[in-house]
Amino acid sequence: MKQSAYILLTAFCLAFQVAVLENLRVLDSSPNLLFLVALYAALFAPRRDAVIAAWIAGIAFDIFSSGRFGVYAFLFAGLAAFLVYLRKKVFKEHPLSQAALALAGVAVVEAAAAAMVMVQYHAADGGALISGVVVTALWTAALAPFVLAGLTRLNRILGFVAEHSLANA
Amino acid sequence: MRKNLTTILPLAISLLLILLPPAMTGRLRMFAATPLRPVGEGRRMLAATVNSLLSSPSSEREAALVEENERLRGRIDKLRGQLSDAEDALDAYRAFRENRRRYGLSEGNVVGAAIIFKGGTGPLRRTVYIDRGSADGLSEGMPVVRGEALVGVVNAVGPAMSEVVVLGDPRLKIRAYIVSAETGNTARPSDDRAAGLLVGTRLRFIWQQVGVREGDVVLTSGYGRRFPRGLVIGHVNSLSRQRDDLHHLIEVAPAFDFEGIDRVLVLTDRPGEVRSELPTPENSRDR
Repeated sequence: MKQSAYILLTAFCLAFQVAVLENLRVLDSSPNLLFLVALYAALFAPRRDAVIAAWIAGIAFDIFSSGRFGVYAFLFAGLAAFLVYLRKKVFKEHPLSQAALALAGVAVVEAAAAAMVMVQYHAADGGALISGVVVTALWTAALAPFVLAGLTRLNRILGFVAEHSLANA
Repeated sequence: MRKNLTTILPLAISLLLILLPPAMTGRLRMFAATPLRPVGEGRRMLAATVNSLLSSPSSEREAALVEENERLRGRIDKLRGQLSDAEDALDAYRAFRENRRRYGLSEGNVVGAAIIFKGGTGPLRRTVYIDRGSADGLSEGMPVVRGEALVGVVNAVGPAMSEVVVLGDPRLKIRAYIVSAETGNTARPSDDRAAGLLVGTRLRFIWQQVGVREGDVVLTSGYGRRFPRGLVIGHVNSLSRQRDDLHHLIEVAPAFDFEGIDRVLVLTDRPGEVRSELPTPENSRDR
Protein backbone atom coordinates (compact mmCIF):
# COMPACT_ATOMS: atom_id res chain seq x y z
CA MET A 1 0.00 0.00 0.00
CA LYS A 2 1.20 3.51 -0.78
CA GLN A 3 0.66 5.20 2.58
CA SER A 4 0.97 8.83 1.45
CA ALA A 5 -1.64 8.36 -1.33
CA TYR A 6 -4.00 6.58 1.08
CA ILE A 7 -3.60 9.29 3.76
CA LEU A 8 -4.33 11.97 1.14
CA LEU A 9 -7.46 10.09 0.09
CA THR A 10 -8.56 9.83 3.73
CA ALA A 11 -7.95 13.54 4.32
CA PHE A 12 -9.96 14.43 1.22
CA CYS A 13 -12.82 12.17 2.33
CA LEU A 14 -12.76 13.69 5.83
CA ALA A 15 -12.95 17.21 4.37
CA PHE A 16 -15.86 16.11 2.16
CA GLN A 17 -17.56 14.45 5.14
CA VAL A 18 -17.48 17.51 7.42
CA ALA A 19 -17.86 20.23 4.78
CA VAL A 20 -20.48 18.65 2.52
CA LEU A 21 -22.10 15.49 3.88
CA GLU A 22 -22.76 16.93 7.33
CA ASN A 23 -24.91 19.55 5.58
CA LEU A 24 -26.96 16.87 3.80
CA ARG A 25 -28.61 15.45 6.86
CA VAL A 26 -31.78 13.42 6.91
CA LEU A 27 -33.30 13.04 10.39
CA ASP A 28 -30.10 14.56 11.80
CA SER A 29 -27.98 11.81 10.20
CA SER A 30 -25.54 11.83 7.32
CA PRO A 31 -23.76 9.03 5.41
CA ASN A 32 -20.50 7.78 6.83
CA LEU A 33 -18.03 8.23 3.96
CA LEU A 34 -15.00 7.33 6.07
CA PHE A 35 -16.60 3.98 6.84
CA LEU A 36 -16.81 3.33 3.10
CA VAL A 37 -13.09 4.11 2.81
CA ALA A 38 -12.43 1.62 5.62
CA LEU A 39 -14.70 -0.95 3.93
CA TYR A 40 -12.86 -0.43 0.66
CA ALA A 41 -9.54 -1.00 2.43
CA ALA A 42 -10.87 -4.08 4.22
CA LEU A 43 -12.09 -5.60 0.94
CA PHE A 44 -9.40 -4.57 -1.51
CA ALA A 45 -6.16 -3.67 0.33
CA PRO A 46 -3.39 -6.26 0.74
CA ARG A 47 -4.13 -8.40 3.81
CA ARG A 48 -1.23 -7.06 5.88
CA ASP A 49 -2.32 -3.43 5.29
CA ALA A 50 -6.12 -3.75 5.47
CA VAL A 51 -6.55 -3.31 9.24
CA ILE A 52 -4.09 -0.41 9.48
CA ALA A 53 -5.76 1.32 6.52
CA ALA A 54 -9.20 0.96 8.15
CA TRP A 55 -7.73 2.22 11.43
CA ILE A 56 -6.41 5.37 9.67
CA ALA A 57 -9.91 6.04 8.31
CA GLY A 58 -11.30 5.53 11.82
CA ILE A 59 -8.81 7.95 13.38
CA ALA A 60 -9.74 10.52 10.73
CA PHE A 61 -13.43 10.08 11.58
CA ASP A 62 -12.60 10.43 15.30
CA ILE A 63 -11.07 13.89 14.77
CA PHE A 64 -14.51 15.46 14.32
CA SER A 65 -16.35 13.07 16.61
CA SER A 66 -16.55 14.82 19.96
CA GLY A 67 -17.00 11.56 21.89
CA ARG A 68 -14.11 9.46 23.15
CA PHE A 69 -11.14 9.71 20.78
CA GLY A 70 -10.21 6.33 19.33
CA VAL A 71 -13.67 4.72 19.43
CA TYR A 72 -14.21 4.76 15.67
CA ALA A 73 -10.59 3.77 15.02
CA PHE A 74 -11.11 0.72 17.24
CA LEU A 75 -14.45 -0.18 15.64
CA PHE A 76 -13.24 0.32 12.05
CA ALA A 77 -10.08 -1.71 12.69
CA GLY A 78 -12.00 -4.48 14.46
CA LEU A 79 -14.52 -4.72 11.65
CA ALA A 80 -11.74 -4.70 9.03
CA ALA A 81 -10.00 -7.57 10.84
CA PHE A 82 -13.24 -9.55 10.57
CA LEU A 83 -13.84 -8.59 6.92
CA VAL A 84 -10.31 -9.62 5.91
CA TYR A 85 -11.29 -13.20 6.80
CA LEU A 86 -14.71 -12.85 5.21
CA ARG A 87 -13.69 -11.29 1.92
CA LYS A 88 -12.77 -14.55 0.23
CA LYS A 89 -16.27 -15.84 0.84
CA VAL A 90 -18.21 -12.88 -0.60
CA PHE A 91 -18.51 -11.53 -4.12
CA LYS A 92 -16.89 -8.26 -3.09
CA GLU A 93 -17.14 -6.60 -6.52
CA HIS A 94 -20.93 -6.94 -6.65
CA PRO A 95 -22.83 -3.75 -5.74
CA LEU A 96 -25.40 -5.69 -3.70
CA SER A 97 -22.81 -7.37 -1.51
CA GLN A 98 -21.07 -4.02 -1.06
CA ALA A 99 -24.35 -2.38 -0.02
CA ALA A 100 -25.17 -5.27 2.33
CA LEU A 101 -21.73 -5.16 3.96
CA ALA A 102 -21.99 -1.38 4.33
CA LEU A 103 -25.47 -1.64 5.87
CA ALA A 104 -24.45 -4.28 8.38
CA GLY A 105 -21.05 -2.73 9.10
CA VAL A 106 -22.31 0.83 9.67
CA ALA A 107 -25.19 -0.48 11.78
CA VAL A 108 -22.72 -2.34 14.03
CA VAL A 109 -20.25 0.57 14.25
CA GLU A 110 -22.85 3.29 14.83
CA ALA A 111 -24.84 1.14 17.29
CA ALA A 112 -21.69 0.47 19.30
CA ALA A 113 -20.79 4.19 19.31
CA ALA A 114 -24.38 5.14 20.26
CA ALA A 115 -24.44 2.50 23.03
CA MET A 116 -21.27 4.02 24.48
CA VAL A 117 -22.91 7.45 24.52
CA MET A 118 -26.08 6.07 26.12
CA VAL A 119 -24.12 4.29 28.85
CA GLN A 120 -21.83 7.25 29.48
CA TYR A 121 -24.55 9.95 29.50
CA HIS A 122 -27.72 8.56 31.01
CA ALA A 123 -29.74 11.55 29.83
CA ALA A 124 -29.10 10.78 26.15
CA ASP A 125 -32.24 10.46 24.06
CA GLY A 126 -32.18 6.76 23.15
CA GLY A 127 -34.87 7.07 20.46
CA ALA A 128 -32.95 9.75 18.57
CA LEU A 129 -29.72 7.76 18.77
CA ILE A 130 -31.37 4.59 17.44
CA SER A 131 -33.07 6.44 14.57
CA GLY A 132 -29.66 8.04 13.85
CA VAL A 133 -28.06 4.59 13.59
CA VAL A 134 -30.75 3.31 11.20
CA VAL A 135 -30.73 6.38 8.95
CA THR A 136 -26.92 6.54 8.81
CA ALA A 137 -26.75 2.83 7.91
CA LEU A 138 -29.35 3.19 5.13
CA TRP A 139 -27.73 6.38 3.77
CA THR A 140 -24.27 4.79 3.73
CA ALA A 141 -25.49 1.52 2.19
CA ALA A 142 -27.21 3.46 -0.60
CA LEU A 143 -23.96 5.27 -1.43
CA ALA A 144 -21.69 2.24 -1.00
CA PRO A 145 -21.79 0.79 -4.56
CA PHE A 146 -21.10 4.20 -6.14
CA VAL A 147 -18.31 5.18 -3.75
CA LEU A 148 -16.64 1.76 -3.91
CA ALA A 149 -16.88 1.73 -7.72
CA GLY A 150 -15.07 5.08 -7.71
CA LEU A 151 -12.47 3.99 -5.18
CA THR A 152 -11.62 0.73 -6.98
CA ARG A 153 -10.45 2.88 -9.90
CA LEU A 154 -7.73 4.16 -7.54
CA ASN A 155 -6.41 0.65 -6.80
CA ARG A 156 -3.23 1.17 -8.77
CA ILE A 157 -2.53 4.65 -7.32
CA LEU A 158 -3.05 3.31 -3.81
CA GLY A 159 -1.03 0.17 -4.43
CA PHE A 160 -3.97 -2.16 -3.75
CA VAL A 161 -3.01 -5.20 -5.81
CA ALA A 162 -5.67 -7.65 -7.04
CA GLU A 163 -6.05 -10.76 -4.91
CA HIS A 164 -8.11 -13.89 -5.18
CA SER A 165 -11.76 -13.01 -5.68
CA LEU A 166 -14.93 -14.93 -6.44
CA ALA A 167 -15.22 -12.76 -9.55
CA ASN A 168 -11.90 -14.15 -10.84
CA ALA A 169 -12.55 -17.74 -9.74
CA MET B 1 3.60 -13.03 13.36
CA ARG B 2 3.73 -9.77 11.36
CA LYS B 3 0.16 -10.35 10.18
CA ASN B 4 -1.04 -10.62 13.79
CA LEU B 5 0.94 -7.53 14.78
CA THR B 6 -0.67 -5.40 12.05
CA THR B 7 -4.05 -6.41 13.48
CA ILE B 8 -3.29 -6.20 17.19
CA LEU B 9 -1.27 -2.97 17.12
CA PRO B 10 -4.02 -0.68 15.73
CA LEU B 11 -6.55 -2.14 18.16
CA ALA B 12 -4.18 -1.69 21.11
CA ILE B 13 -3.37 1.92 20.15
CA SER B 14 -7.12 2.65 19.82
CA LEU B 15 -7.79 1.27 23.30
CA LEU B 16 -4.98 3.40 24.69
CA LEU B 17 -6.42 6.52 23.01
CA ILE B 18 -9.91 5.74 24.39
CA LEU B 19 -8.47 5.61 27.90
CA LEU B 20 -6.64 8.96 27.63
CA PRO B 21 -8.29 11.97 29.37
CA PRO B 22 -10.71 13.83 27.02
CA ALA B 23 -8.92 17.16 27.66
CA MET B 24 -5.70 15.73 26.25
CA THR B 25 -7.31 14.00 23.27
CA GLY B 26 -9.42 17.11 22.61
CA ARG B 27 -6.29 19.17 22.04
CA LEU B 28 -4.87 16.40 19.88
CA ARG B 29 -8.06 16.29 17.80
CA MET B 30 -8.15 20.05 17.29
CA PHE B 31 -4.45 20.07 16.38
CA ALA B 32 -5.14 17.40 13.75
CA ALA B 33 -8.23 19.27 12.52
CA THR B 34 -6.45 22.61 12.06
CA PRO B 35 -5.23 21.86 8.48
CA LEU B 36 -8.92 21.54 7.49
CA ARG B 37 -9.70 25.08 8.66
CA PRO B 38 -9.38 26.57 5.12
CA VAL B 39 -11.90 23.97 3.93
CA GLY B 40 -14.32 25.15 6.62
CA GLU B 41 -13.80 28.79 5.70
CA GLY B 42 -14.43 27.91 2.05
CA ARG B 43 -17.60 26.03 3.00
CA ARG B 44 -18.77 29.05 4.98
CA MET B 45 -18.18 31.43 2.06
CA LEU B 46 -19.89 29.04 -0.35
CA ALA B 47 -22.90 28.68 1.97
CA ALA B 48 -23.15 32.49 2.21
CA THR B 49 -23.03 32.79 -1.61
CA VAL B 50 -25.68 30.08 -2.07
CA ASN B 51 -27.91 31.77 0.52
CA SER B 52 -27.58 35.14 -1.21
CA LEU B 53 -28.36 33.54 -4.57
CA LEU B 54 -31.41 31.75 -3.17
CA SER B 55 -32.72 34.95 -1.63
CA SER B 56 -32.34 36.97 -4.84
CA PRO B 57 -35.47 37.71 -6.98
CA SER B 58 -36.47 34.85 -9.25
CA SER B 59 -38.15 36.42 -12.25
CA GLU B 60 -36.01 37.55 -15.20
CA ARG B 61 -37.38 41.09 -15.17
CA GLU B 62 -36.62 41.53 -11.50
CA ALA B 63 -33.14 40.08 -11.95
CA ALA B 64 -32.45 42.50 -14.84
CA LEU B 65 -33.63 45.42 -12.74
CA VAL B 66 -31.43 44.37 -9.85
CA GLU B 67 -28.47 44.03 -12.20
CA GLU B 68 -29.05 47.47 -13.74
CA ASN B 69 -29.54 48.97 -10.35
CA GLU B 70 -26.31 47.43 -9.06
CA ARG B 71 -24.35 48.74 -12.06
CA LEU B 72 -25.71 52.27 -11.67
CA ARG B 73 -25.20 52.46 -7.99
CA GLY B 74 -21.67 51.08 -8.17
CA ARG B 75 -19.51 52.73 -5.64
CA ILE B 76 -22.37 54.37 -3.72
CA ASP B 77 -23.82 50.95 -2.87
CA LYS B 78 -20.46 49.68 -1.76
CA LEU B 79 -20.04 52.63 0.58
CA ARG B 80 -23.55 52.21 1.88
CA GLY B 81 -22.82 48.56 2.56
CA GLN B 82 -19.70 49.47 4.47
CA LEU B 83 -21.62 52.08 6.45
CA SER B 84 -24.36 49.57 7.24
CA ASP B 85 -21.78 46.98 8.35
CA ALA B 86 -20.14 49.54 10.60
CA GLU B 87 -23.52 50.52 12.12
CA ASP B 88 -24.45 46.86 12.68
CA ALA B 89 -21.11 46.18 14.32
CA LEU B 90 -21.55 49.26 16.51
CA ASP B 91 -25.07 48.19 17.53
CA ALA B 92 -23.88 44.68 18.32
CA TYR B 93 -20.99 46.07 20.34
CA ARG B 94 -23.30 48.43 22.30
CA ALA B 95 -25.72 45.57 23.04
CA PHE B 96 -22.88 43.35 24.10
CA ARG B 97 -21.40 46.00 26.40
CA GLU B 98 -24.83 46.42 27.97
CA ASN B 99 -25.05 42.66 28.54
CA ARG B 100 -21.59 42.53 30.06
CA ARG B 101 -22.56 45.24 32.55
CA ARG B 102 -25.69 43.29 33.40
CA TYR B 103 -23.80 40.05 34.00
CA GLY B 104 -21.13 41.79 36.06
CA LEU B 105 -18.29 41.08 33.63
CA SER B 106 -15.32 43.34 33.18
CA GLU B 107 -14.75 45.16 29.91
CA GLY B 108 -12.81 43.41 27.15
CA ASN B 109 -11.85 39.74 27.06
CA VAL B 110 -14.43 38.58 24.60
CA VAL B 111 -13.59 36.85 21.34
CA GLY B 112 -15.81 36.93 18.27
CA ALA B 113 -15.71 33.76 16.15
CA ALA B 114 -17.16 32.43 12.91
CA ILE B 115 -18.58 28.92 12.69
CA ILE B 116 -16.64 26.98 10.07
CA PHE B 117 -18.09 23.47 10.53
CA LYS B 118 -21.47 22.55 11.94
CA GLY B 119 -22.34 19.19 13.45
CA GLY B 120 -19.48 16.78 13.97
CA THR B 121 -19.30 13.12 13.07
CA GLY B 122 -20.52 10.35 15.38
CA PRO B 123 -23.64 10.13 17.54
CA LEU B 124 -23.06 13.42 19.37
CA ARG B 125 -23.81 15.90 16.62
CA ARG B 126 -24.65 19.01 18.64
CA THR B 127 -21.20 20.47 18.02
CA VAL B 128 -19.86 23.36 16.01
CA TYR B 129 -16.29 24.28 15.12
CA ILE B 130 -15.14 27.90 15.33
CA ASP B 131 -12.19 29.66 13.73
CA ARG B 132 -10.57 30.74 17.00
CA GLY B 133 -8.27 28.75 19.26
CA SER B 134 -5.66 28.90 22.00
CA ALA B 135 -3.75 31.56 20.06
CA ASP B 136 -6.78 33.85 20.59
CA GLY B 137 -6.95 33.14 24.33
CA LEU B 138 -9.60 30.42 24.27
CA SER B 139 -9.58 27.50 26.69
CA GLU B 140 -11.89 24.60 27.56
CA GLY B 141 -15.06 25.41 29.49
CA MET B 142 -15.57 28.98 28.23
CA PRO B 143 -19.21 29.91 27.57
CA VAL B 144 -20.22 30.69 24.00
CA VAL B 145 -23.09 33.12 23.42
CA ARG B 146 -25.04 34.77 20.68
CA GLY B 147 -26.52 38.04 21.91
CA GLU B 148 -28.15 37.18 25.24
CA ALA B 149 -28.56 33.50 24.40
CA LEU B 150 -26.22 30.79 25.62
CA VAL B 151 -25.08 28.67 22.66
CA GLY B 152 -22.78 26.20 24.42
CA VAL B 153 -19.34 25.63 25.88
CA VAL B 154 -15.87 25.33 24.38
CA ASN B 155 -15.05 21.61 24.60
CA ALA B 156 -11.70 21.27 22.87
CA VAL B 157 -9.17 23.88 21.82
CA GLY B 158 -6.56 23.74 19.08
CA PRO B 159 -4.10 26.43 18.03
CA ALA B 160 -6.40 27.98 15.41
CA MET B 161 -9.80 26.32 15.84
CA SER B 162 -11.99 25.02 18.65
CA GLU B 163 -14.88 22.66 19.20
CA VAL B 164 -18.04 23.95 20.90
CA VAL B 165 -20.59 21.62 22.46
CA VAL B 166 -23.98 23.17 21.78
CA LEU B 167 -27.08 23.26 24.02
CA GLY B 168 -29.01 20.03 23.65
CA ASP B 169 -25.91 17.83 23.89
CA PRO B 170 -26.28 15.35 26.78
CA ARG B 171 -22.77 16.18 28.03
CA LEU B 172 -23.76 19.73 28.84
CA LYS B 173 -25.07 20.06 32.41
CA ILE B 174 -26.18 23.56 33.41
CA ARG B 175 -27.68 24.92 36.64
CA ALA B 176 -30.71 26.89 35.52
CA TYR B 177 -33.75 28.68 36.92
CA ILE B 178 -37.11 29.69 35.56
CA VAL B 179 -38.55 33.17 35.14
CA SER B 180 -42.22 33.76 34.42
CA ALA B 181 -42.71 34.98 30.86
CA GLU B 182 -45.58 37.23 32.02
CA THR B 183 -44.26 38.90 35.16
CA GLY B 184 -40.50 38.58 34.60
CA ASN B 185 -40.10 37.16 38.12
CA THR B 186 -39.16 33.73 39.38
CA ALA B 187 -42.21 31.74 40.44
CA ARG B 188 -41.13 32.22 44.06
CA PRO B 189 -38.39 34.79 44.40
CA SER B 190 -35.41 33.72 46.55
CA ASP B 191 -36.64 30.13 46.43
CA ASP B 192 -34.08 27.47 45.53
CA ARG B 193 -36.94 25.19 44.49
CA ALA B 194 -37.19 27.19 41.24
CA ALA B 195 -33.64 26.15 40.31
CA GLY B 196 -32.88 22.91 38.54
CA LEU B 197 -30.34 21.06 36.43
CA LEU B 198 -30.51 21.14 32.65
CA VAL B 199 -29.12 18.04 30.94
CA GLY B 200 -29.48 17.99 27.17
CA THR B 201 -32.81 19.73 26.65
CA ARG B 202 -34.41 18.42 29.87
CA LEU B 203 -34.63 20.53 32.99
CA ARG B 204 -35.09 18.48 36.17
CA PHE B 205 -35.45 19.02 39.93
CA ILE B 206 -37.80 22.02 39.79
CA TRP B 207 -40.30 21.29 42.58
CA GLN B 208 -43.94 20.65 41.75
CA GLN B 209 -45.02 23.47 44.10
CA VAL B 210 -43.34 25.96 41.79
CA GLY B 211 -45.79 27.28 39.21
CA VAL B 212 -44.27 26.76 35.77
CA ARG B 213 -46.02 27.42 32.47
CA GLU B 214 -45.18 26.70 28.88
CA GLY B 215 -43.33 29.70 27.45
CA ASP B 216 -41.58 30.63 30.73
CA VAL B 217 -37.97 31.65 30.27
CA VAL B 218 -35.06 29.45 31.40
CA LEU B 219 -31.87 31.28 32.45
CA THR B 220 -28.45 30.25 33.75
CA SER B 221 -28.34 30.54 37.55
CA GLY B 222 -24.62 31.31 37.77
CA TYR B 223 -24.05 28.73 40.53
CA GLY B 224 -20.71 27.00 40.24
CA ARG B 225 -19.28 30.06 38.46
CA ARG B 226 -19.21 28.16 35.20
CA PHE B 227 -21.57 30.55 33.40
CA PRO B 228 -22.50 34.15 34.13
CA ARG B 229 -25.97 34.36 35.66
CA GLY B 230 -28.90 35.41 33.51
CA LEU B 231 -27.87 34.06 30.12
CA VAL B 232 -30.97 32.96 28.24
CA ILE B 233 -31.03 29.20 27.71
CA GLY B 234 -34.48 29.01 26.11
CA HIS B 235 -38.12 28.67 27.04
CA VAL B 236 -40.32 25.95 28.52
CA ASN B 237 -41.59 23.87 25.62
CA SER B 238 -43.50 21.17 27.48
CA LEU B 239 -44.13 20.06 31.04
CA SER B 240 -44.56 16.67 32.69
CA ARG B 241 -43.77 15.02 36.02
CA GLN B 242 -40.57 13.26 36.98
CA ARG B 243 -40.84 9.63 38.11
CA ASP B 244 -40.48 10.64 41.77
CA ASP B 245 -43.70 12.70 41.42
CA LEU B 246 -42.05 15.55 43.32
CA HIS B 247 -40.45 17.49 40.51
CA HIS B 248 -41.36 18.87 37.11
CA LEU B 249 -39.74 17.34 34.05
CA ILE B 250 -39.38 20.27 31.65
CA GLU B 251 -38.48 20.12 27.99
CA VAL B 252 -36.60 23.29 27.03
CA ALA B 253 -36.51 24.78 23.53
CA PRO B 254 -33.13 26.55 23.02
CA ALA B 255 -33.24 30.31 22.44
CA PHE B 256 -31.20 30.12 19.23
CA ASP B 257 -31.64 28.32 15.92
CA PHE B 258 -28.87 25.72 15.54
CA GLU B 259 -29.04 25.77 11.74
CA GLY B 260 -29.19 29.57 11.60
CA ILE B 261 -26.16 30.52 13.72
CA ASP B 262 -23.16 31.76 11.81
CA ARG B 263 -21.14 33.85 14.27
CA VAL B 264 -20.77 33.58 18.05
CA LEU B 265 -18.98 35.29 20.93
CA VAL B 266 -16.77 33.45 23.41
CA LEU B 267 -16.73 34.88 26.95
CA THR B 268 -13.16 34.52 28.11
CA ASP B 269 -13.75 36.00 31.60
CA ARG B 270 -14.50 33.84 34.60
CA PRO B 271 -17.93 34.82 36.00
CA GLY B 272 -18.07 36.59 39.36
CA GLU B 273 -19.49 35.17 42.60
CA VAL B 274 -23.24 34.64 42.74
CA ARG B 275 -25.31 35.47 45.80
CA SER B 276 -27.36 32.60 47.18
CA GLU B 277 -30.70 34.17 46.24
CA LEU B 278 -32.00 33.63 42.75
CA PRO B 279 -31.59 36.65 40.50
CA THR B 280 -34.60 38.26 38.86
CA PRO B 281 -34.56 41.00 36.23
CA GLU B 282 -35.31 43.49 39.05
CA ASN B 283 -32.51 42.61 41.45
CA SER B 284 -30.09 42.03 38.54
CA ARG B 285 -30.61 45.64 37.53
CA ASP B 286 -29.95 46.84 41.09
CA ARG B 287 -26.49 45.27 41.19
